[in-house]
Amino acid sequence: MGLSRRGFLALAAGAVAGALASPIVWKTLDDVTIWTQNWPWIPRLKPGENTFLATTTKMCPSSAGTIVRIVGGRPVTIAGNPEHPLGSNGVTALAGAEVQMLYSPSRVKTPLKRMPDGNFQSISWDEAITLLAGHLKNASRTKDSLLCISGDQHGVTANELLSACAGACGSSRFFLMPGEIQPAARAARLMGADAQPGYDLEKSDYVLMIGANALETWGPVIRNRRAFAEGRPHGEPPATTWTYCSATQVSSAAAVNSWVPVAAGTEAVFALGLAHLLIKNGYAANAPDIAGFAALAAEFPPQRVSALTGAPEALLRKTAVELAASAQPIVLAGSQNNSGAPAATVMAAIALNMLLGVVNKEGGLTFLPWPATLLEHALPRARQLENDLCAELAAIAAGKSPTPNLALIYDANPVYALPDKHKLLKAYASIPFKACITPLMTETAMASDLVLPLPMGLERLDDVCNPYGCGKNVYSLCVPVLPAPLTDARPLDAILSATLAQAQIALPNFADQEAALTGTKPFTIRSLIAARAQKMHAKEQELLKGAAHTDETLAPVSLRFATDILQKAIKPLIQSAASETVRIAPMTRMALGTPDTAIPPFGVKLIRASELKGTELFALVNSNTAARLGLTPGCRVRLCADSGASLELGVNIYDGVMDNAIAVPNGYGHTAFDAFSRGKGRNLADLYSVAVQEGLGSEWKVAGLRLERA
Amino acid sequence: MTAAKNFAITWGMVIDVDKCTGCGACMVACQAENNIAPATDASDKLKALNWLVVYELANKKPFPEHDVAYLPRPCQQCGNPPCVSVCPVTATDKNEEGGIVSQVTPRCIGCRYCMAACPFHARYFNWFDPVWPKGMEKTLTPDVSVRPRGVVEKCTFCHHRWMAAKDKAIVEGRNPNELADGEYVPACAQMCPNGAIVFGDLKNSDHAIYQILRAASAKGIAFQLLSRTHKKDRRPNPEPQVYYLSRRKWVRDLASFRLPKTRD
Repeated sequence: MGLSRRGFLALAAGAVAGALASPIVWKTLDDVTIWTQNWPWIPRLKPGENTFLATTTKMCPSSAGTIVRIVGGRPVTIAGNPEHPLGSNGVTALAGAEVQMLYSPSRVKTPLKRMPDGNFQSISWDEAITLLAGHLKNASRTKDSLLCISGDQHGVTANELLSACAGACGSSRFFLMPGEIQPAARAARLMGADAQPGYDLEKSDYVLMIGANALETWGPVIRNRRAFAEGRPHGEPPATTWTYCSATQVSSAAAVNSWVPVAAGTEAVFALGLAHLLIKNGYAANAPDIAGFAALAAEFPPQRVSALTGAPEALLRKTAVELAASAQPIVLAGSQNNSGAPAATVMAAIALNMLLGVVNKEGGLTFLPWPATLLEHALPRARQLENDLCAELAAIAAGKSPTPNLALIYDANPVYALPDKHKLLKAYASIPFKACITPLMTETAMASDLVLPLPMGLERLDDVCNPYGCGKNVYSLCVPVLPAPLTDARPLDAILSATLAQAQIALPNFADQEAALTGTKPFTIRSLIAARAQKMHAKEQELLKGAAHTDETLAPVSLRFATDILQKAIKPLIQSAASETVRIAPMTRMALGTPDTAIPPFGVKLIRASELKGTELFALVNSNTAARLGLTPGCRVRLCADSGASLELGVNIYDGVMDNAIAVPNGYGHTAFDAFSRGKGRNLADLYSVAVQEGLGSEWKVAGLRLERA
Repeated sequence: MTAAKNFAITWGMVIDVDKCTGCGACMVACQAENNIAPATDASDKLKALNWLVVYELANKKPFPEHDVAYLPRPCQQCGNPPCVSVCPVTATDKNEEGGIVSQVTPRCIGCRYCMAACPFHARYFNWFDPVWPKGMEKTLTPDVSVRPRGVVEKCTFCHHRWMAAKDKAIVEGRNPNELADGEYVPACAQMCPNGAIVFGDLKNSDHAIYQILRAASAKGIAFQLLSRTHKKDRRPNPEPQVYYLSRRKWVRDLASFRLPKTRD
């Protein structure tokens, strides 16, 4: 018997009705809903005993005192330490993410060796030490055959260990990564001070920041910001005045009393314009060459300064009047990309402080004595800062300096951070063997032959000594908050002493008997810290509990204006200011990390929509510049420099950028690290080249910038 | 619209816009404290999840008259919260002493009515599973449960910190409803290096916020977001417990969101 069409339809309808009436369909749908909504992994919170440990941030250049919250042995969050002279209740966006960075996907977990196929292979520490010792022994046979680069700008012990190690191998080629402190130390030396310039912001009533983004990136930022906050009671007129001179109206500019637009690279001209107005107003300094300086400053009347820097004449005059009317003014100079302002800019700022009569005065420019050198063979701090990495690599590239056989990189990322990639990195790449001691897999680690994992700042004993910008001597320790590093990492002293021992090179001893009294094994971080604490009359046990040692001793100085040097130094700045029609204005934010950290996972959400969309980085120009150059929001441009370097970027309009300036965010364009930073945007340092002036060190610049539609 | 609920303790925040430099330390502190997962790409701001966002404000004038300000925006803990009345499952409510608008994520069904109702965009939907890089889940604080995808979440003024402060007061034999100034402070207020965020009981004259707000209101420089600017303004007033200070008129005008004058 066949099934009729009507019968089939009736059966189908009955089946559907039956199925819907039964719980099968609904239960299945319910299960599908539940199971598709289930997490693949459910994090469960783990309670535990709360403990708090005071330390100092090493990852963040603010060198602020911090307090780490530890729950059941796990560090979970970080807060500021208001008891610390460089701390407050708060911390920077970078230091706030330091605990999470312990678990960064970029951590180097074991020693890695580059294989002939170019890939890395995990090796044991014994193999790594043997490999490094072989190269170190080889390098020690020829003078200056070892090149050491340290990224530790604010520490003293690690740098001393490294430079002593280099010295024991017969090399004085120890370099710090470029920063604000080197040109400042150079400027101070040229002006007759063998000491580190400091800034007593806490007691100033007028802070003039020429290029120095002191509320975001310059100097010990948290200390700066505490001084700023204390001078501004809520809802009341500010008790202190802060003026910020830069090409972009970002971060510091949002809260200061006034923002003065000054084109990047012309800050020295602006400072000399102020000096001219002050001298005209009767200001002078007790220096032998004041007449010469006055003559130089007279070359910068307001009209000329305005034409060269882009700063409105009225604002220049207003700033001079405010400086003159303040009881305790102070002038800071710095760069927008933390590569260090040109020495001429710092010299001009020191000259202003001299005119204002605030040198070594409360609330003024102070000079801090250099920290003692404890190890034999180690370069004194002042000598370390004289060494100029960019100038050295440029000399290697030009064949004026021999190519070293071994490069030892400590907690630094020169491959990402250095400018003039085609020249400097070519010189760097020509070094036959490169060993990188780093906690994270940076661009430099990727370009090395041997990678040695270093504990993170929260996992190792380290120190901070007079970070550039602080107005008095500060020494504090970074203490480990975990019993052992989370990876198979070893501290610097363990790596170096094992390597030197294997290479049969004698470990450097204490330089003097006084320091030798503290310990029998000098070549360790702990014994060096103990010796330094003793020398400073600091309590080591208190330091280990996170307390900072402070000392208000200042170095007596007799400053001169060094007009001849300043005149020579300022010449190229004027030439470039007069010839450039558009200029780069870097924008640097702490939230986006440093070259050594890249963008921390917790920094990603702080990226502004106007800066980055997906992987496209945007340059910001104001409406006037956009109209002049024919740019529209969203269009793409190619920024080209005379050096041949270029960057392709999108364009957004932002009227907080001065005329003829192209603001480019810093901190993007990483090719290493992890998904939080790799492949996002472009690296601004790629556009810069380096100019080395005899006696004045290297200066970063973008010469002959021009725009092309991409 | 009914009148705002009244509580003996009213936790509030005063954010001094003139002190904020937009560094984002508050946003980082919030992420760490409240177990908010990081994102590898947050450039799509519609999908990025933050309990606290720092907005960049501009006076819209061309250079050189241009001015900029940064405005941190947590949940405004409205006295008259528009999100509460639309929640079909009472996952969000304002019924506890202190006046903090609750968010009970296990109860949330993810309908997102509250997001539509919130005039401050302070509520966020978990579009994705929260994922921490391997090992980073060890940094989760034991204070705030991790939320699954499919629910809405928002700032709670770090409510767990209030609970902890009350517990501490009870253990010490003190009245937990009479916390001293500074005993309970959310992570963002604690971590702001510029001291731009002041937190406390708006009704307690012993708390600094009380004096600051009174003084600033007297000078006319305190404001709430979407506040009514004149009597004829018929828009609903959410009456936030978050106040802002600025001596700059353009900032205050922008925040009040005053509409252009129309014919009555």
